Amino acid sequence: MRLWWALAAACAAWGQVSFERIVDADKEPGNWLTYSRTYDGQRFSPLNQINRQNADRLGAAWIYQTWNTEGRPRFETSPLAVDGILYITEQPSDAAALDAATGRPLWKYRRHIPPEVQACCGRVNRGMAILGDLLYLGTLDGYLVALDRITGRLRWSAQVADSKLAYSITVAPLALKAMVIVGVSGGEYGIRGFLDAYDATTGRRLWRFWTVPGPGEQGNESWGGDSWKTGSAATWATGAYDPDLNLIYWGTGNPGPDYDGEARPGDNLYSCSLLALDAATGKKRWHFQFTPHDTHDWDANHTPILTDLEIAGRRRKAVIVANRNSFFYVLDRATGEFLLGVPFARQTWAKGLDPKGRPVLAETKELVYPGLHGGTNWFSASFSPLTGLFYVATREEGTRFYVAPTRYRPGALFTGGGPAGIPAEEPEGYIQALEPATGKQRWKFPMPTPPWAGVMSTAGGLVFAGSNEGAFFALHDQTGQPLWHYQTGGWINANPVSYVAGGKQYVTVASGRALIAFTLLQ
Amino acid sequence: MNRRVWLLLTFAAALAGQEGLRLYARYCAHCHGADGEGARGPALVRTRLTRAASEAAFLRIVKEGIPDTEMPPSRLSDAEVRQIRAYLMALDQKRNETSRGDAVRGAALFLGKGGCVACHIVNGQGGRMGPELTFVGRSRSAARLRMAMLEPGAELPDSFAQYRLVIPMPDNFLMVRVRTKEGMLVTGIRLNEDPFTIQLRDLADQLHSFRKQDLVQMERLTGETPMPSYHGKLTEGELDDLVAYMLSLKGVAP
Repeated sequence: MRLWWALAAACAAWGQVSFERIVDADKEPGNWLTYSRTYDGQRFSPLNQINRQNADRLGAAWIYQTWNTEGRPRFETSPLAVDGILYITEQPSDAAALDAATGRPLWKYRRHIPPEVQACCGRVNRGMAILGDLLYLGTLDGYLVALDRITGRLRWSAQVADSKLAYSITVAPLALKAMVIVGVSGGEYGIRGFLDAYDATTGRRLWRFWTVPGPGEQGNESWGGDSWKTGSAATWATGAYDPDLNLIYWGTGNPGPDYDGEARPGDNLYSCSLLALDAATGKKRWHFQFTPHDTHDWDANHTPILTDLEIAGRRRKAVIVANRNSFFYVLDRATGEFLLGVPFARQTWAKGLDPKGRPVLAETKELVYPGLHGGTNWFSASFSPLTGLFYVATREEGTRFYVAPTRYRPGALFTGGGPAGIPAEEPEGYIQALEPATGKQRWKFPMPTPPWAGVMSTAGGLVFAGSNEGAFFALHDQTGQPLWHYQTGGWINANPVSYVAGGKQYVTVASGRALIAFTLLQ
Repeated sequence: MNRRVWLLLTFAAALAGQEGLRLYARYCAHCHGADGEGARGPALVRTRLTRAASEAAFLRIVKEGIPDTEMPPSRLSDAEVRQIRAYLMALDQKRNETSRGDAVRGAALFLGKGGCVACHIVNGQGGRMGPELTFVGRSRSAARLRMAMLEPGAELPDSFAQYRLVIPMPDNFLMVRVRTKEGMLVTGIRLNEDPFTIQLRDLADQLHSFRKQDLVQMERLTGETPMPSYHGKLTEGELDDLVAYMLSLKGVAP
């Protein structure tokens, strides 16, 4: 009897997704265990069954249609792939498990989101985290819920924030050690942003870091008057984690109100910043503010990428990010020291960056590049350790901004202006490859409209990306040459992932209301 | 009515009107004209707004925008939207756009001397090169219609792409010129495009779909249009007649 229990325990433990398994993700390249596959945020797949030689044989293996009944679909999920099962989220805050080889659903979790729950920029969700036998889902009504990965049943639920104040959760949480990190959306509603950690087993909150410091805290002096109370700095894009330094890297959004800078004199820390937080305590180790006193809605809500780089003859533990403000940055990830910052897309707002990385502002104009949606946005970039290149989907688009002072009302939009008056030119986009140590562009692939989808590089020498018009495609990672493309018929507004099921490599991406898995056809 | 109450009400109404004007100027005038006469967006000084005839519809459209058009969602409160509507309705009673021309003569010019029907559909008849005009009287002012005939390049529809996350169907009549590897040259209106293919309707009304890998050249002719200017080709009186005709085009009754 005792032996039977030991066996059962061993089997359960084998099936569980431990923290160690995620740290050692490269030992199981057929799985995708966390938002970016690895904690370093690289969104790189070590699989090479699909490669430059055979990419033209890719075709759809299956299509899964969501039950989404939202108006225009914005299907932003980044699936997890665990031992032959995909775990995805659907609009507004649903989840499903799919057989990864056939796309057939195994269970569904549906959550009623009252229509009055607000989310400025879509009732969306970007995916889940997994740890042990639980999946973690952030919901639009402000909860973090834990689901049984076998049945999809609710195991615990913790209120993260009050949706009546227009806090919502769209971000894929990040599970590490024995905790779940989750951020909030609501930067257009004058929320006070934060990043939370919850006990993975019980849902008890372990720490909270306010991204807008309160009175007496360092950084509060960067907000004139009481403006910190509605300072926003939301945390709606999944961060990265360095297990050696035990630091969490997480970006923060625009200050509130978005466009009315006079309502909040000062640099407005820690909006539009990258934060490095001690995972054990939630205390800040360092911060770097990309856009001090932003008035263009340039959230720094990006997944940062951790890699080691040779910069000016020195090996550096770096964190790299292409920011919405159209500059590509390299920072020392232990100290936050600014190492490099160069533009990767058209920009008219800064003359350049000073030696500390602070922008030197150009003359203020109504028409600004990049526009409010930025030189890039939340969708992921990718880094290939094989080519040493950084891949990112970029946007060439301007906006004419206006200011319209707004009074704060709890739960109401609080933007203080907006975009107006459109220049006649057509915006466009690119997939770009940059050398991370210099920011130099190696190649770019043109797209007729500015993209809303992330990229993934693979050991097959490919970079996968998607377009607004529904084209999903593979580029040669060294040259940008297109090797395969497929018209999916839906807006691609998500990050691709890759996994193995039944010995075959698949690449999957959300498009329209569907999730489509591609594999090599015979 | 007590005189004091009456004065107070009048004063409040005037204040509300002012607020409507202020909001309109800030949020709407850019596209709908300083006096609601229409610019890139439709004229709003009309007896009946097509999509927003009722207050409820007006509120919904101003707050949510119109999907697949350049009309963006706004972040105005119900009270603010009502003030804008009140302002517009006051305008509407003051102005009722008419044209000096004769719509019947204009219709004859449209089919005959003007040659407009070769490229524009009205009520199911006409060419497909330019925008359909069956409804144009609902959405354009006399001034804009006149300008479109004199300077067609200046009146091309804007893509308004910066307002829109995605454009399922390009609707800005962009002219594109392509040259294939075989040396074929095609100039046409873009119907659609993705990173790998482009679909055009050429000036002879032929549809083309190209793979970009088969093209050696692809040029966007931004600001160009196959429509000629009617400056000097029609008299002032004839232009007035055409404007009157187009203003009368209100579409098929729903």
